[in-house]
Amino acid sequence: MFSYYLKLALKSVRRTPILSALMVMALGLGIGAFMTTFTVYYLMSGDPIPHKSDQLYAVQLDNWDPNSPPTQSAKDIQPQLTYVDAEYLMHAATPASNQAAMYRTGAIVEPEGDDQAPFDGNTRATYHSFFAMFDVPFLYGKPWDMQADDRRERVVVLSRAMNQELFGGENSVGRSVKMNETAFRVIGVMDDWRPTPRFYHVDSGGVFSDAEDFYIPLKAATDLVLQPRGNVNCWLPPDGPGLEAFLRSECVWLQFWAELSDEHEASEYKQFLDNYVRSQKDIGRFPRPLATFISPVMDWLDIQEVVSRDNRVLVRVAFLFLLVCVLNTVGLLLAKFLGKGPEIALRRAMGASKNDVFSQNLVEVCAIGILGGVLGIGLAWLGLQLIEKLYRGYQHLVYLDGGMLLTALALAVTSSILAGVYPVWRVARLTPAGFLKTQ
Amino acid sequence: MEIRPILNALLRNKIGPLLIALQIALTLAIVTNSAFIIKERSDYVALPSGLDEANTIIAVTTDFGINLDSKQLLQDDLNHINAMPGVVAAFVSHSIPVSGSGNGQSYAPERDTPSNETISFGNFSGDERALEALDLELVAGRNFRPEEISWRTLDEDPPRKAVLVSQALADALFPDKNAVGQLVWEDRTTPEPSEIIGVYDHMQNAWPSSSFVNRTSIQPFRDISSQDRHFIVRTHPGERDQVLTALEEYFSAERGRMVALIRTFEEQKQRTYSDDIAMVKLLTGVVIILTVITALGIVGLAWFSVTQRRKQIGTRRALGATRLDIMRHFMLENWLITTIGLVLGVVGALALNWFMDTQYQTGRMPLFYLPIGVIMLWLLGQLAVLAPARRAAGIPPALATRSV
Amino acid sequence: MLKMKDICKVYRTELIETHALRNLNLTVEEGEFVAVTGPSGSGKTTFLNIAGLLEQPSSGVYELDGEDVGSLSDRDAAHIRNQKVGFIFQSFNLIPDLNLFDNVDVPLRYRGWPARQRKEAIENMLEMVGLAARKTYLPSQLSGGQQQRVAIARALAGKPRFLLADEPTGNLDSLMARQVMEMLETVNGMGTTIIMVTHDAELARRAHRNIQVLDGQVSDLDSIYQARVDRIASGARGEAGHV
Repeated sequence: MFSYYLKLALKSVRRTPILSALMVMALGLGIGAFMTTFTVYYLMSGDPIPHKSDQLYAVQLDNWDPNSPPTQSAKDIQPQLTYVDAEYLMHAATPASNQAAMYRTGAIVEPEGDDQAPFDGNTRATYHSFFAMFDVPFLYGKPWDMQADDRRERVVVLSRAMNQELFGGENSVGRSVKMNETAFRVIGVMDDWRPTPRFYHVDSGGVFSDAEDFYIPLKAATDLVLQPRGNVNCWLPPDGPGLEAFLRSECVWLQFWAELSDEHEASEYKQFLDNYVRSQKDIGRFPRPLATFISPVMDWLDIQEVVSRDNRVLVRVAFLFLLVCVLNTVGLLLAKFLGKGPEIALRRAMGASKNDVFSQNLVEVCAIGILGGVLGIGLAWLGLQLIEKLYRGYQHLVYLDGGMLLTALALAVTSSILAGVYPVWRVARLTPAGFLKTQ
Repeated sequence: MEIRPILNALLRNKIGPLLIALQIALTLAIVTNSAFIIKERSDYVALPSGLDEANTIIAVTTDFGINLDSKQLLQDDLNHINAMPGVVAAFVSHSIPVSGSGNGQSYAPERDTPSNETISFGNFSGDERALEALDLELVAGRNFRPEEISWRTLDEDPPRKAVLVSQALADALFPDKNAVGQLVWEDRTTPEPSEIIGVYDHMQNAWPSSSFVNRTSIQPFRDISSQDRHFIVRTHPGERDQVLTALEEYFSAERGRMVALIRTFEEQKQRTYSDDIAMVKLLTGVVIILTVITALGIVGLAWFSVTQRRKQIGTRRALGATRLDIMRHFMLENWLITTIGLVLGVVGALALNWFMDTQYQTGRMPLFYLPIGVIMLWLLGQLAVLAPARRAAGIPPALATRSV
Repeated sequence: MLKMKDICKVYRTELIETHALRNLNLTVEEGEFVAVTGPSGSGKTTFLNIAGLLEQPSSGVYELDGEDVGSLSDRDAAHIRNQKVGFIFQSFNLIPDLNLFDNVDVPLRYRGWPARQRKEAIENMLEMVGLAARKTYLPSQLSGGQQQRVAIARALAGKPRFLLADEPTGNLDSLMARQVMEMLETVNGMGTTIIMVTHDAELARRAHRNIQVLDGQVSDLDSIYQARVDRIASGARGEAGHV
């Protein structure tokens, strides 16, 4: 019977091509708009490191100006640490199983061949523990070790893409890369690694762009005076020019993460931070009331408002838009189905039950829904291309994965059924007698 | 043509008109709120930077060669670029207005002012050509003299004795007196104050969304403490693109540095405001498509309603209704439905605005958006129903007597 | 075959009650050809709708084949319509975007027959009404008489034992009307019980029995009935013998 209904549905769609096209278009546009904004929202608010996001904590210490407003929550204070505090924590015996300080920087990379021009290499300066803590997969080699950090060794871990670009994708471990006219030895090559959003550094801009291409020991980076490319905030300026003064200043510019395996470890770590800040108060630092925060990944993304307000607004607007499209479709379906009164009456006279009529029209509604859904997916794909064009640094946000495609289709069918259920019910309820006399 | 019989008919046949009314209501709510956001954002994007936007080029170069004499190179660069045909003036700063990335500081009129009472501003380094290159008018005081310009290196941060400030910064620092000649303190640690030697009309800082966007200052030094040089080059009208090509060629000649970026100021502004521009474009798209869909929905339902009432219309015609009467009937019917929808929509629009404002700080929508939206949707409804109404008017009176 | 006892049908709106049928009593025997006449508004259509299970009576007893069908569920009523009842309408009521084959197919689909059986039945019926060669035509490509023949084929395809015809010749010219009437007589001759609503007195006279609906009640036109039943009943039996 289903195939018969399907055949009838297609005939019916063809009988009123403009009305049907209008419905498919309305549903398609509504779904397309909603899916576009929702996909961006969904990817923006995704968990970048699902298996351990509850064990990774961003660290904040309130070292700020005594005159600025009081600190009430993690939102109120700087998201980064001073070099002094980061260095202390890196070398202290804290309860954390892993910790890493890091900052984003850049170095001019000169590829070996003459045919390639020097370029600005997107670099992250950090500690060896970065890779274990964030479960970075390796294609070749391995991360550097603690000695390399201590000895300020000039070693580099490359992203898979950069290894492709510089060495044609071969195992480049042991080869040399010239960064700011200094040779760095390749110690490892990452496999594809794209935490989205890039939670460990949520500076404005770039949260959704690719992870860095070069990873070097932080001390090696400061040795080369590689300056931070991210926010640097100082409530007191450095006490003099030059690197040394900057490093000992109250300027915050380092991201700091700790891996804490359970609640107990987290509370011990927090205690440790509090004790550290108290001891620093004795030597005149941390003039404000004691405030330290540790926030697991998903809380951190929320605190830093990684999902833009604009996107939230757009999702809401697109949802209302979809609602209008559904209402529109209800109206048109109602019009269309009531127009089918005589045919329905005839079928009822020929022995079709209300259920038969209901099913027949439901199949038609679903067919329109699926067509609308397919159009919607197409439009969402186009919409995402447009988003990619309009926004900078969104290249990871603009794909539809299988889950989203299914969601789109389910949304399409659900909306069309929602749109269709009243008209279908109304039509099935028509008394057949009235339509048979003289039409 | 009275309203009452039409209204009665509508009430009897509730669901179809109700659907249209709801659509109109939602459309009004979305369109007014979107229009409000679009207007806010466009105004924001259109705020003048103070620069000669159409004729300005920015370039960032990075020195990396170890044997490079950065000071000499920069001096040569400035001499060369200023002598290039088509160039009005060029200078190097340590940040660029409206670029999203810059340098912030604060001044206080007194020494030892608590830090929460100091005045924040965007800080730009520059030289005696800065005012001309940035197209700023000096409102009071004087420009830098060449001998006042110092070099800032990794090891030395020279005191800034003479500074230029924007009118907005001057007003914030010295609301009651002439700022020229006044002393300002950078912070408690600086040993000496700076003197305001001149006030220029207007320039935005690097962050358009900051609360102190119009407070800026230009300080007399050239920064070679980092690898990056930020060039701002103003050209004569119409010669920007040639100059840009020539600049690219010039910068690439030196092997020990690379060009991180070189683009027109207009392009930079587009990038800095890209989120806002995107929002404007997306919401404009939503408004247009939504309007079209709503209009098509009205056409579709009205068309159907005409089909359904052919016989009734024929009968009315047979009883003496003119074509115009029939058209008026449908137009009036649509007007009534639209109006019911708009009443709901006004409430909906206010509720949506309240929600958006409390949740996402979009701001309170001024009430004048509502009457404009109402009038537009009235017109839209009438336009949409025109074709079906004409079709209804074309139904012959003879239909009344025909049985098929 | 069909037995109606004290059937009433009342239509209620907020303002008025309309008594379409009041205490209607009627018995139709298997194989009869009954013509129903009556002025418009007399309740003919309501009677036909109730007889065809399209509407349910407000009160009274309606038995079809000895089974009380007065208050069946929608599904059961649909089932009986499909199995036992065929309809023919004044305006043919063919589905305009289905071809002849698919139109005749409609009741069979709801009967749930396998495809081969349906195909055979449809082709036999179209053969019978002389339109087998045009089975892929759309209704709009046929004349009115041809359309009504398709409608008859459709009504009979499922071999119903009971055929309800509502002004079957009302939209046809006299030549075509005669053809359709002859076809109905043939069908009746093969054993199908027919109730035909008409206002054409000449057609009505060709039925076995004439009843008139007046103000929602049946007045059997007894004298005519008696006179005719003797004459036609023997003929009908005779034809039935051929099948």
